[in-house]
Amino acid sequence: MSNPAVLSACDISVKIRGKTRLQPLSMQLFPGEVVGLMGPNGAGKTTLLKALTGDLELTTGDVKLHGKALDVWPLGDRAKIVSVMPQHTRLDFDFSVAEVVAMGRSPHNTGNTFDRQCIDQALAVCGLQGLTEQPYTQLSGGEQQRCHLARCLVQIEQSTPTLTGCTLFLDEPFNSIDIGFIDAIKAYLKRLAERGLSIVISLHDANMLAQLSDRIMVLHQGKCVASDAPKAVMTPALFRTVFGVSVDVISHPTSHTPWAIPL
Amino acid sequence: MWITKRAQPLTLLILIALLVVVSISALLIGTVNIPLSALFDASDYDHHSARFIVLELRLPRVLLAGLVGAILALGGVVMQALFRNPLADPSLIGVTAGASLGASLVIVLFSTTGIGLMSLTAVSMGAFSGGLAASYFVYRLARRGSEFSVSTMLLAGIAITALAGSLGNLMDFFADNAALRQISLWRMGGLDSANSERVTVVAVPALLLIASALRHRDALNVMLLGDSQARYLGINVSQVRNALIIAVAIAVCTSVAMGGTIAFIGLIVPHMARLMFGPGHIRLIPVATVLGALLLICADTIARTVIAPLELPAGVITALLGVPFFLYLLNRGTSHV
Repeated sequence: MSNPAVLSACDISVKIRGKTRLQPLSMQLFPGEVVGLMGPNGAGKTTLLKALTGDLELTTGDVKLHGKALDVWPLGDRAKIVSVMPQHTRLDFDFSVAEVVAMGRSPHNTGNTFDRQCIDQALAVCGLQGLTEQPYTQLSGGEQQRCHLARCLVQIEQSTPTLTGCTLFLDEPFNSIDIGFIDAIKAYLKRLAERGLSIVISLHDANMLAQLSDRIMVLHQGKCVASDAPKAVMTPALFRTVFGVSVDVISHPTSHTPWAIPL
Repeated sequence: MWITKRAQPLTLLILIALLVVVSISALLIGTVNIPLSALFDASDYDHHSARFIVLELRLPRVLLAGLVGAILALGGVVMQALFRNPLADPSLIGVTAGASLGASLVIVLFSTTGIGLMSLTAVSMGAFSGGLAASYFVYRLARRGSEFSVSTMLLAGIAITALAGSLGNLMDFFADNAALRQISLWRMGGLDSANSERVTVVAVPALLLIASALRHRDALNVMLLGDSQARYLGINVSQVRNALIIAVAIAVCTSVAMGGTIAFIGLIVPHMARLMFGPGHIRLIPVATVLGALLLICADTIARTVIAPLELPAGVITALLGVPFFLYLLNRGTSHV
């Protein structure tokens, strides 16, 4: 293959009502790669995610999925290989947790038995086994978030052992989720990446991002100011210019990833 | 859910059986109660008049009530899903107010109901065009280029409803007493003009609405998560929404044109169906359809028998029965709202 990138964005920029939200940037996403998006509030992380998933109209540039422009992909085909978890999802109807998670399998036709397996696995990963018959609207905020995460995880699951060519986009997926659940979910995401899944994830916790990502893109005022391995990106100088805070960066004792400590 | 998943298919069958039983009873009950024997026993001295009353007068009326009830209930289910709001109902897109204005216009300007085509009176046609025009305006207002905003549609619906309402009041102001009475009777809703042509005219859009709702049942579930989520899950949201809004608008316009404005079925029946069967559309669509038909047939039968030989407008009965139930739902503090 001449271009092994799963997703490639070329010179994409976004202007909304005359205001520049994303300055031109190009990026490529490779099989099994985890790209972390970092940046202060309003830096353009969500805008970039929406631009990459075709949810926002691009002012310039284009996004190609497997070499084919995003907007010519039939939605049904795309949904089989691209799963997106937005920051917020509102649902005012009393579906059970199992029903909401099962919606993630709706683009696929892999049969009931396999769907059931995917759903049970995602429910277990997100710690929802005990809540399957609970009405969604009666869940706590963190439980609702885990429920949508599970839905996006079952959507990306394939009947083949490899996930090469599939992409998962996660916008602040761990919001209001307890640290205990996050560990299991993080480990599961790593396993998915080992099977070839490409992941783009935005998190406000830089240390967690460093543990998960192969590469971190730092956005600041709509501009990509750094894109490199976590160790190269996470420097006290970067935290000072981008976040305006003084930090010391040490190495995590077990994962050996950079760990920023506010001074 | 009041009914467990395992019991749901049986419950739906019971509801269908109930619909059949109620429909047959509605054919036999009325100003004149007709025993079944008079229908089938040719030697009965009432045989011919009984057959006439049941087949020519009551059968079209029961069918019309069933169809109108089904359209309103299913229209409510679809609108609640499209607006992602359990309090939406078909009148939100301006259909009812537009139809009301259309009917008033025809009554005041032509002060006659006699003219018409295929026994569809001019008033019905005025109502149909008025409703369709209003929903078209609302739909256009909610669309900017390729973008479509559900909240704009909600506001546009309120605005068009208010506009049509005040124009209707203007009509009332210029109307003479006879026309005024006719207008207000029309607004109360009634099925007394039912005949086989009218049943046919309502049946076509009703079946189309049922078919398109069933066709998009999975999309309707996913669209409750929001437009972009539904797109991520592979649903062509604008295409599905266009198809469903058009189906609802045409069906509800036809039903309002034939049965006047009938309150609360469109809001309450989807709630009842959801309380019993949960929010999944594969169950909601058939249940709401059957329940809507069942309730309007009951209401209409009460309307024409309770002070027989006088007939109350069916719309009055549905609101009288519907409002207390709705208040009960609100008071119950369910998580639906």
